[in-house]
Amino acid sequence: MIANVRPLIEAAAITFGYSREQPVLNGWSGSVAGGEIVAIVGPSGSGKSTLLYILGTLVRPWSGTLWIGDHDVARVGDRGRSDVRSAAIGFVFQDALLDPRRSVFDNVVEGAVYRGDSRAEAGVQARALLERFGVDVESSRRATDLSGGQAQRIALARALLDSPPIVLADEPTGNLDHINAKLVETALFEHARSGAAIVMATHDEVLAARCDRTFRLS
Amino acid sequence: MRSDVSTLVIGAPRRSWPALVAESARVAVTARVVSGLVAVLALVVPIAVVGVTGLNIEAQGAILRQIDAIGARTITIVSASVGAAIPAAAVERIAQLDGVSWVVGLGNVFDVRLRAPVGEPTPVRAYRAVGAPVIFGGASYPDGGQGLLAAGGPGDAGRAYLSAESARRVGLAGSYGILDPGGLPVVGWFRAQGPLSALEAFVLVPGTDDALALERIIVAVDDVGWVDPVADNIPALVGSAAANAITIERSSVLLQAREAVKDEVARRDRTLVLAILAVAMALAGVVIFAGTVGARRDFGRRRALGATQGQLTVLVVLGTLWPALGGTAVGTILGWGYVGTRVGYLPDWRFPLAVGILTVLVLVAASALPAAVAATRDPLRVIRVP
Ligand SMILES: Nc1ncnc2c1ncn2[C@@H]1O[C@H](COP(=O)(O)OP(=O)(O)OP(=O)(O)O)[C@@H](O)[C@H]1O
Ligand SMILES: [Mg+2]
Repeated sequence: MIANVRPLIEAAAITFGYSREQPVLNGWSGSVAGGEIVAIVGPSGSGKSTLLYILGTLVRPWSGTLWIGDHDVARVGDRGRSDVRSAAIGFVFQDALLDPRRSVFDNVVEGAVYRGDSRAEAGVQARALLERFGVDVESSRRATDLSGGQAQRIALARALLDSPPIVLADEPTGNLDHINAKLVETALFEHARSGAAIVMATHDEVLAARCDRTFRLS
Repeated sequence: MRSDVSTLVIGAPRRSWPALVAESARVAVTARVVSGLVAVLALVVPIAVVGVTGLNIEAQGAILRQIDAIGARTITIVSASVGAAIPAAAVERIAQLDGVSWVVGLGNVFDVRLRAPVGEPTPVRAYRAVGAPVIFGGASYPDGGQGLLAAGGPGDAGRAYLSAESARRVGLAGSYGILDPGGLPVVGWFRAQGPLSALEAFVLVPGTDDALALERIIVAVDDVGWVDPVADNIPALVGSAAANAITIERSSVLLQAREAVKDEVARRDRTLVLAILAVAMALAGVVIFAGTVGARRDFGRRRALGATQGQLTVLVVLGTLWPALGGTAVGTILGWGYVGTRVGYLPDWRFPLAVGILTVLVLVAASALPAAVAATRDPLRVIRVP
């Protein structure tokens, strides 16, 4: 495990809600270092997904500070936050969030397009990731009519493309059978061991217990 | 490239253009409905604009030809003083000028009575004339032949011709009658068209060149462009006595009408083109906006995957550009060809090209606002839409 002096993610006193009356997060603080895998647990509606969106710079907290690497992302503008997402963060959404009109391959390499990376190079990696995760559908096939497990593994391949230093995964094993869940779990742990900071929201207490640490929301 | 895991420094990605341009083409292909509608608009606009204005130019041509037929192409020469009659030979000389279609010289008007084989004599006015291209018919000439009033042939002096119209009015069926006083025989009828149709009110008596002193000459030229050069040459051809005593009337009122028609058609075309473009822009804006609303989750996903607002804007704008280019190319060529087949020749290609470029610009401009709205939507809100 590569231990960084400073954590890759460092949040302090984060407050955020969807309406003024009901803050979902109230002064949340936490940090994740490179090489660490951390679980967010808590009952449904406790704000696990919301916290991941904040850490993923998709939403700006009402107050508090959030450092992603050397970026004070609660302060930088939209462009800076897009750069952070593009360069540093791989996201696995709760419902995969694939584009059903595009091919499996296009879905996996999409992030490379915005980074300006070569599609050919990204493609080589994409095929390797799809194979590693046992995605047994043609990569030229449209990403529609997939099983939950297939969609989630494709989403994982997309998130891990080009080895992001941070991976945020929202119930990545939620809809999966035991074998697939294990495969996804292994991939995330391996990615953490390579030095990345992983934050994963989960309802699975056993999985959470295997993580390095746990953030508990209520 | 992603930033290095082992350092805390997150560098900005390269965000290269070619990758984005290629992606925009894939976006255009994926968004079939929106691209299809944009392409259809892009197809229809140049057909409408090039088609309508092209045919308007043709309609304008028809109006102008009508004006020209009325007499925009005519020059009238009037001898200003009684003593300075124009020699009839001037008609022959003017007829030789380049660009002259026909010339008619008119002598004095005189009142006579037409004595038909039956019935009361009718008062008529007669003109001595030379050179008029009229259609003769009657006993001494095969029906429907074009001829000139001149010595010899149907226009021989010493005979008179009644217009077909007058002949009907006074009840002269065959031929024909006698003009009193003088006893000139009416030997047939004539029909005069266009600017000469006014002659149909008169009995025409062809004048022999030397005997006839003209008071008025009407010259028709092939094209309005000939009016000035021909008119300028006329004083030299009417003889020294008449040269300073004539007034030359160019059909300036008609020429002004001609210009007015041109301006009016151009103005109507401008209004129409602007209206078509405005409607197309509004429709495209609605279609593209609806498309971006329908693709909300798409935009949310792209944002989550690191696309900037600028990149999303470019994707929407370029995603509009490709179908717009395709549709416009086809529409412009079709519109051009349509006008070509209707008019009988292919009009200047620069106009359709300009319309095509304008169409693409308008459609792309229509995408700018929806693109900006889509790009600045809160990514979280759109991702959380189930
Ligand atoms: N777009 C939204 N607008 C308003 N309220 C929202 C929105 N998204 C989430 N919420 C509310 O915010 C709270 C936290 O939601 P969140 O999705 O973060 O919970 P969660 O812990 O991920 O739940 P689950 O385990 O079911 O995924 C919930 O009460 C939810 O109803
Ligand atoms: Mg959730």
